[in-house]
Amino acid sequence: MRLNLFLPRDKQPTALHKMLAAMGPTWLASPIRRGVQTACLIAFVVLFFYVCWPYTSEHEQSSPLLLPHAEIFLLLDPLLSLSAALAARAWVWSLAGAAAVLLVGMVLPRWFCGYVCPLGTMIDAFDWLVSGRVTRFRTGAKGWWVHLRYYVLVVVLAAAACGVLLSGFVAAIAVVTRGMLFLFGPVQMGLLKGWYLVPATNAGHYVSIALFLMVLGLGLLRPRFWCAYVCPTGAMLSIGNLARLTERKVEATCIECGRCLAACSFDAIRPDYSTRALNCTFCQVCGGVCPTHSIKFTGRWNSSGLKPASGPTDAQPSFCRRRFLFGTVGALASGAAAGAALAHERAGHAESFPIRPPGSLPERRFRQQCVRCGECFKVCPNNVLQPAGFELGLDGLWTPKAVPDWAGCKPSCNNCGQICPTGAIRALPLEEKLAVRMGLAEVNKKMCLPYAGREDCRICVNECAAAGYNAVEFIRVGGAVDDQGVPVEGSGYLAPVVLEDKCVGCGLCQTSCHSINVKGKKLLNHSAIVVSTGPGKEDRIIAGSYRDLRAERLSRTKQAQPSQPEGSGDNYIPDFLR
Amino acid sequence: MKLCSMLRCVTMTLLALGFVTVEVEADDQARVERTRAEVEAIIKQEGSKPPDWWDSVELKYPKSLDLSWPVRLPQGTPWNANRNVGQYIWDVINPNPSRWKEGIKLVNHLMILNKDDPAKIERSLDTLGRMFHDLLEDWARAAFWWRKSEQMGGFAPPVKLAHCYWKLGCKEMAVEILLEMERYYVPEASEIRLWGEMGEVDKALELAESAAQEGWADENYLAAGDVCRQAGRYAQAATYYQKVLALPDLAPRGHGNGPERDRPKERAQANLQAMKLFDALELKRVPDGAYTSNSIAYAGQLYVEVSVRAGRIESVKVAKHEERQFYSAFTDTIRQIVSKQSVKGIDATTGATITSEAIINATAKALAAGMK
Repeated sequence: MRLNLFLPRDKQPTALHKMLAAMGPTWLASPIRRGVQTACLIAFVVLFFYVCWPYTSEHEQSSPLLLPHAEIFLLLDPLLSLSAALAARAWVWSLAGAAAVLLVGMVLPRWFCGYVCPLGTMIDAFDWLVSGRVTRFRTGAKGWWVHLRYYVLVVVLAAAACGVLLSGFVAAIAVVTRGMLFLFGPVQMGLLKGWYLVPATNAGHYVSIALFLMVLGLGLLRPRFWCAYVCPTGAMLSIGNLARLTERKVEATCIECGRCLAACSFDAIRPDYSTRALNCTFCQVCGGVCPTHSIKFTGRWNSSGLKPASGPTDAQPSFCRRRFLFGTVGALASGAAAGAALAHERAGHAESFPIRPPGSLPERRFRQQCVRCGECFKVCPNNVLQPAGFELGLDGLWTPKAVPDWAGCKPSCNNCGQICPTGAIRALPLEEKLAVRMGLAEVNKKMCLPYAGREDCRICVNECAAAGYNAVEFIRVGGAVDDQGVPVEGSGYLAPVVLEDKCVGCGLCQTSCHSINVKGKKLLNHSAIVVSTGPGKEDRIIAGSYRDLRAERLSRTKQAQPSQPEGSGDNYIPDFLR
Repeated sequence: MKLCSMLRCVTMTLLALGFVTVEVEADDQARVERTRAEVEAIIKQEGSKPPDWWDSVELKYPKSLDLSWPVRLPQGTPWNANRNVGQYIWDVINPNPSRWKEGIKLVNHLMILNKDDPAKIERSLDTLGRMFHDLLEDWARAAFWWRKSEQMGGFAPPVKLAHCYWKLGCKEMAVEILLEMERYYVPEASEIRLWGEMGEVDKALELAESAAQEGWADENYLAAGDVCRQAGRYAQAATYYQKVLALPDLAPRGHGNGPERDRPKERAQANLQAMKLFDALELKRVPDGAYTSNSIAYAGQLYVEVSVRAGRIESVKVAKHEERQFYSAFTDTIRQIVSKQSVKGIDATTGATITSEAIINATAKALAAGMK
């Protein structure tokens, strides 16, 4: 069995060779890999920009074809699914994607890192553009960090076991998606639709951007430093490599020229030219640069004609038992400590209820399952959903919250649930989503213009009616009566009343009050109708139908109503008038 | 068949999502003339039958409501819309079209609850008549309940009852009431407007003059102007509006929010201004696009958005208003403007003349401003 995907060196270069050589040595050595990488990066970028509102399709509705695929790279990141499932102690549907990646990895070890990961490809591009030219930060192959990624992974999983999700900070695809989103999302929105549509940034944005830049910047130390030494997703795939069926092998014809050593960016080749199988991503550049065609990718147990082992010349710190034990225990302990600390912090923030997207799981479970990837902000029309900063605690960082002062949740959209890769926001059909209460609008009667007797204002009522909820209706206030006690036509104002059984907390009323009365006319300091959340004001269920829940609630309120006379239809004309 | 229902399904979805604006159809409801006997039959049959929505609308009201609904509240009772039925209807039912039907059910229910008190029955009957007339524009049922009220010794508002008869197709019955009324009372604006609506412009003007002599000039001259305008007598309309403007300023009336006290003058001014535009208006000279303008309505400024394409008025939309009763002026007037492709010769919607005129005036202003 041969799995050679590289382009072997040739004495008589063909036109293809010449063209690839012009593109660069790694293109020449392993063109298929570079091609796949490029295609994946392009796919990632296209999906990324495609689903950014404003959508290119008609009616500002996202295309049903592309939307479900936008989060495909998130599904493929096994750490995201596994940590979310572990934290929530529940089946997360994206585990299927993780399983697929690990299964394929048996044949193509760490293929995700070598071929697919858009962050890896971006780091490659950064290495080529910047790191290749800036050498003063370069470091050797030895260091305390060579096994760091395993410890990072242990910390993440230990914290997840304590119910706290840290993968949003370090998992490859979460870092790159959010980094791109916070860096380029606003630019896209600003250029396509107008800068006034770009919401304000908070500390969370800067931390995320800094993290993304730091990951790229690590390339200054060594090529793909992040991937080779730090990335916990990579560590998971490395562990997956223990079950590999294939391997890089070196044949006895090796002349020990050292070209493969220089070409490998994953630190996967020992000084004696044998393979560190857990590091190898099957990028196969080494095979392409080998002048004697001594490197082959073949079955794990195929050992014919191999270069004999030449003693223990491993330059990496040996995987000694004591170090491993201390490291692992330390990582476990720090993960558990981080988990406990954040869980404690979360409890401390239990009073501040953010408005979560429609269909979000109950808060605790939501935080356990939300991987902070940022996809929901990206698909949300008009940025109703925005990332939380530190106001919800470190554990709430980058989780989505609706900001009704900025925009209200459109009744025609259920994108956030459709795109959520872990089901922290349930993928509800539109008719279900319309029955979800995100919160409850409340009128501040001291501020509201008609209540305060300041002026006629019907913005919120009209907005709610236009959205089809009809959850805010009028009441006449401040009316005058004449001497006989008869109300004077035209006196007083019509003021808004929220119907609790109809309001879903979409926030459209608050948006309009804020944009017109606060920002436009400068009559108020804050919207006089505000969506709030908390027990009894929002619906968040793990499974089951929101419409049923609503029907149940309505029948309960009906029972509390005065009982109706039987057969009221017969009473239209009562007998005494016949 | 299947395709048809599928299409309808798609249309309904789009409608629900707000992607499709309802294009007002260009059919003028031709007036049907009916004999006295036919109208009597309609009132008897239609009026005594529960409306088709009757069973689907729930009877609901706040628990705190005082269902005994006293005919007269004791002096000094504090205003409480959750307790006093009349105040509940005024504050909660009337301003919300979605509650009108449930309000009618409530009144009907209270009538049955208080059947032992004739005064309460009579008040319920009158309220039912008003609600069917003012809110639902259900002429047959309004007439039916008012007649029941009269049978009980109550008093039906004569102009409104006459209006029902006219709407049901019998001018003779309406005229009978109005003539009867004339013998006892000083003419009022609604009476003048109804005469005008029935095409009796001279009669209407005669009443306006006699009302003016009694000292009630502003409202009635305004009504006279509106009647002339409806009838296409623009020059004469202008003289009436001028008369309104020339009247001495009256002392503030009522307890309105300010601007309402001076409405007759404001409206006369707005109507004069709009009429000047009517003749100058040439749709062909209005380039494609959307135009907005405003005019004074019943409770405040009303804004319209008119869209024009290829020299045709494509749609008119009321963008913003402060009207407190939503009547049918919005759809009715707009339908007429679009179907006639003009702001001239539009019949004002009865009961909402002022709103109707505001829509016409604002549309005229918007188009005139867009003209090249």
